[in-house]
Formats: sequence, C-alpha cells, structure tokens
Amino acid sequence: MSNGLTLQADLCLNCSPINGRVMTACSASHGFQMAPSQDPLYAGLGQAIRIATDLLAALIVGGALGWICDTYVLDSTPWGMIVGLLMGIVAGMRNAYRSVQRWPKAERP
Amino acid sequence: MEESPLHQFELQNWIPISLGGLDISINKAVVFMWIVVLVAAVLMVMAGSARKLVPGKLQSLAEMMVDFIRSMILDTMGKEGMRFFPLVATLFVFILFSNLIGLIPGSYTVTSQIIVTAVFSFLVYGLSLIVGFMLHGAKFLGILVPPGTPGWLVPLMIPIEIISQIARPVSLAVRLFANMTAGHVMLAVLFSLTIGGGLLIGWLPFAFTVAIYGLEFGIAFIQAYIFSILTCVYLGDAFHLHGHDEHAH
Repeated sequence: MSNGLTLQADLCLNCSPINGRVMTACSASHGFQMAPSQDPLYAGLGQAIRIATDLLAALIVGGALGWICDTYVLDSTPWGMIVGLLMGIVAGMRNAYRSVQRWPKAERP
Repeated sequence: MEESPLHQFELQNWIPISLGGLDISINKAVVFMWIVVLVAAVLMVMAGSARKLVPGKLQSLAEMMVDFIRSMILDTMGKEGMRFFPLVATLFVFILFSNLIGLIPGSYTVTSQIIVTAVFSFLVYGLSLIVGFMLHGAKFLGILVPPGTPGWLVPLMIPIEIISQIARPVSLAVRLFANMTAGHVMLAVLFSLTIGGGLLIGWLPFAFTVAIYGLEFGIAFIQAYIFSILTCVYLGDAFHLHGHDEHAH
C-alpha cells in the first residue's frame, strides 16, 4: 500500500508476465485496492482517528494510574492525579509523534 | 414514543444461561457475532473453493483482501511477520464483517460493545509482550527507554513510557468501540429527526442520514484497517526492539 505499484506487482499472488489477461486483471484489481485506505480523504480520516485516540487514551491511562495511586496506594490526593494527567499528556504526545513518524512516505501529509 | 438513540446498544438476555454464577446468556450481540463468523466463513470458503487462474468476482475480492493484508504485514513487520498472518487476517475479516453487517438497518454492531474490542486489543497486546519477552528476554524492558535518551531523563522517561505502553491497548479498544458507537448514535439521532420533522423539513436530516451512512461505510473499512495495521505495528515492535527508526525514513 505504500511502495507503489512496482512492489505491489512483486507481491501479487497471481501476476504472471506470461499471461496477458491475468496481468490486466491484476493491475485492474490494484487500481481499486481496498479503496478506502487509498483514497486521500479516507487515508486522512484514518490518520486523524488514530492520532485523536492516541492522545486521549494516554491521558485516560495517566489520569487513572494517578487516581489509583491517590486513593489506594499513597493517599496523596490530588497530587497523584495531577502528575498522572501531566505524564499522560506527555505520553499521548509521544505516542502520536511516534505514529506519525512511522507513516509510509506516500501517506505523510 | 420517542426512543433513546442509545437504545440500540442495550442488550436483553434472550436465553438466560448461568454457569456456576457466570452469566453466559445468549443475547443479541452473541447471536450477531455468530452471524458475522458464519457469513465471513461461508463467503471466504466459497471464494477459496473456486481457485481459478482468472478469478471470478468473489475470488478476486478475496484475493485482493489477502494481498492487502499480506502487503500490510510485509510493510510493517517484514518477512518474519508472515507467521502472524492468520491472526491479523482473522481480526481484519471479523472486524470488517461485523462493522459492515452492523450497518444493515435492524441488525447489531458487535464492535460497538467495548468488551469485544477490549478483548481483541488486550489479546493482541498481550501476545506482543509474550513475543517480545520470548525473543529478547529481559532486554525487552529496553522499550521503556527509547534510544538516545540522556541519562538524567531516564527516571522521567520510564513512567511516561509505561503510560504510553498501557495506552496502546486502551486506545486500540476505545478507537474501534467509540467510532462504531458514535456513528450509530449519529445515524439514530439524524433518523429520529427525520421522522420527527415530517415531510416539510424532514428531508434535510434524511439527506444527512444518507451522507453519514456513506461515511460510516468507509469508516467500517478504515477501522478494520487501523486495528489490523496497529496489530502489525505492535507485534513488529516486539520483533525488532527499537526497530522503528529504520521505518521512519
């Protein structure tokens, strides 16, 4: 999905240069390959969904860990939750940054 | 009577079964999970049974899907990742079919239950931890300290990395669940506005219902794709410790 048609053709299970008809059928299928992730609108939408939940989930986990620390472990209300939320923000940013870093070149905005 | 837009997610026990205090009743979600498995299995077996050189419609769709999952795995995990092909393909097909079947009016979206998505995501994440510890042993704990971290930052980085690691399965579960639930709530709200609006103004929310329905169709694919590509990414991280720098360029 990222390295263009040349790699795709190598990977294709039934591409064979001897059979012209199979070849055309194959390139036709690659033109329409699982459409949504190829379409720029849907690719962008997918990336947006990923980033948004990356940020949110780390925040939830950080806050929850802080809250657990506050109520069950240390009795340090509200400091555990404050520190946890701050760390959650940092971790969320880091996760989001990491997933952007990993996008194949073709999909990068 | 006005129905709550969340009513569609409520589950009643159709056949109450209790096994040693454990509630394993059959409800709508369970039945639809069976339907999803049945439909996916029957379609895939039908597509796989022909095996023509020039594929028919169903066979070429299935081949396209297999090819797509294959290139996804090769892109993110490399050759050794192919041993996880059955897992990734199963997750992809199950999520895709339950999202798509959920879009049929009157049916039920299995993936709109957070327990379903959470079981999948914690299974995937647990598997990646097992693979990582099996391959790298105690060195696998090195994922908590990214390469190039200055020494004085290590005590701060470790809790942050622990949070970001725990956030992975949580975000995986919440993403799928929230997207499916939100989409269906939106459809329900818009359609109840259509019914409430009558002929005079009801066409407007109806147009939006149709548009959002189209969007939800795309979202069904995207969510299946995101879930399975993140499965690949997490398993790949367990394979190549600190390997993501090579993928960055």
